Amino acid sequence: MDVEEEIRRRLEELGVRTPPEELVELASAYPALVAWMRMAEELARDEDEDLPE
Amino acid sequence: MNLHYRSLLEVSDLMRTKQLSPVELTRQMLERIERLNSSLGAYYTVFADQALAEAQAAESEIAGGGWRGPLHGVPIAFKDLYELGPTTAGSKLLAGHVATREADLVTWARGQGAVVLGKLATHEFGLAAATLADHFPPARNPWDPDRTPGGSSTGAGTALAAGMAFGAFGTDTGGSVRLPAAFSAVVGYKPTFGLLSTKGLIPLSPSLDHAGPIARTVADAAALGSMSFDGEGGVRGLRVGVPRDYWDAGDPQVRERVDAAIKSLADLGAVVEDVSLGFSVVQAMATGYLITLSEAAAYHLATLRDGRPGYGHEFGLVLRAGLLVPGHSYVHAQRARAGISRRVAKVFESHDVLAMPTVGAFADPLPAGPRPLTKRISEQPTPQYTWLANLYGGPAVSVPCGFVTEGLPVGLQMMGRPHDDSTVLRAAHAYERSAGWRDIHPPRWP
Repeated sequence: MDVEEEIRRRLEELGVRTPPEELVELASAYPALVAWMRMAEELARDEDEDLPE
Repeated sequence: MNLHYRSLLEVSDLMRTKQLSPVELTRQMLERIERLNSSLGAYYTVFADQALAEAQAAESEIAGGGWRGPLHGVPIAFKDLYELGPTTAGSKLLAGHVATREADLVTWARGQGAVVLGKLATHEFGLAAATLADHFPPARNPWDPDRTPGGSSTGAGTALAAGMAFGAFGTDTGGSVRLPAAFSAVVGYKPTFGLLSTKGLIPLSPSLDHAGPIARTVADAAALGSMSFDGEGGVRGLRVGVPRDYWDAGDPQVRERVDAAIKSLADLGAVVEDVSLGFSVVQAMATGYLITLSEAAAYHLATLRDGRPGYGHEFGLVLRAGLLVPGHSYVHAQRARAGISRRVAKVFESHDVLAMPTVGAFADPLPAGPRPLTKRISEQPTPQYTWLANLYGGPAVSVPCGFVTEGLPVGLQMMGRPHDDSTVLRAAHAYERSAGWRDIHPPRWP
């Protein structure tokens, strides 16, 4: 499934409709949004205790 | 008497000693707003009759010996995110909305006898960048009206820089009081989280939202924030940490001006040392944005779902991006924020304030139409050094520190320990007094 379709589906699940041209813009920005999530996860790791092995 | 570029405390003192009439001062302000606002767009709404009535009441009280304090009779204004009469948040969605209650800070300012001039322009809901195609015309930078005054408290930056108010209250979620201060050569003060009430402000991201003053001097900003500090204390012996690894990005002219300002602090007797925070500005901005987008999306979800028309292009996209942030990423961002706070607290064990640029750029031209979303959500954003103080909750002040060759202002930012606002204000005041930038005003608006 391409990124635009995945975004459309996720927003529709929440009841939010999005015009196709806005889906294109959201898809363009999505990799940076994912990069932000990874950065936050990395910083958060220092604060969390690992699951016991 | 030409008063519009005087400081709030100067005109306050003239009124206290009955050398200046609040009615005359308010009339001068209203005339100036009438003359300049069509060019600069600082105000959405002006309460001319009401302001004159408030000024008349202040004049009578002061004449009768009932001076209430430094705001008594002083004309100020509020960003249009404060509930007070017509309240639009800069959005077509709320065009025509009239608030049914008054924000706490408006009530407080009225109680101090302040004269409320009107409502100031804002980026839509305190976030989306202004464009020339917006429903409400954007505020313009008095140093170059083709450029943004910085936001999101755009009108506050413009009004203070062009002498159209003696103080203003903005909001600051990631820098929205300090960025216009830096871009417009005025002072922006974000107090410690929770110090000023946000009740009655239209929220953007409640865990990061602050109310904060914009003024022409540090002492004025402190007075608006009800904060006292030692104006004669100087910075001798103050331990100033400079997190160069955090602000090595950005425009070289900005870095030069800020380096010169930090050298001035050392010349005034501060003990200046490089420090390391252990994270990057992009990591801090990513953390701040993930929290902001998620919280804003949660607040606006019902309206988005209804399909109610009126959101601007960028804000509508930003909200949808917020809905794409999963719950675990929001939790990671809040944990990252805790980590940032812990690391900053460690630096404050051995330093009293941090010094850095407010933002690693100067004012951009106002775009003709909406910016692409990738300008906002980017792995290489324009470095805004402001987010840090919102994340750890401490006080921060942006104070003018010079101009780049394009004639546009640069801001020096100082941050302090939570609830140690007085030290940050003291340091910013000491720099401001020695540097003299506060006496330079935009030449187009004498």
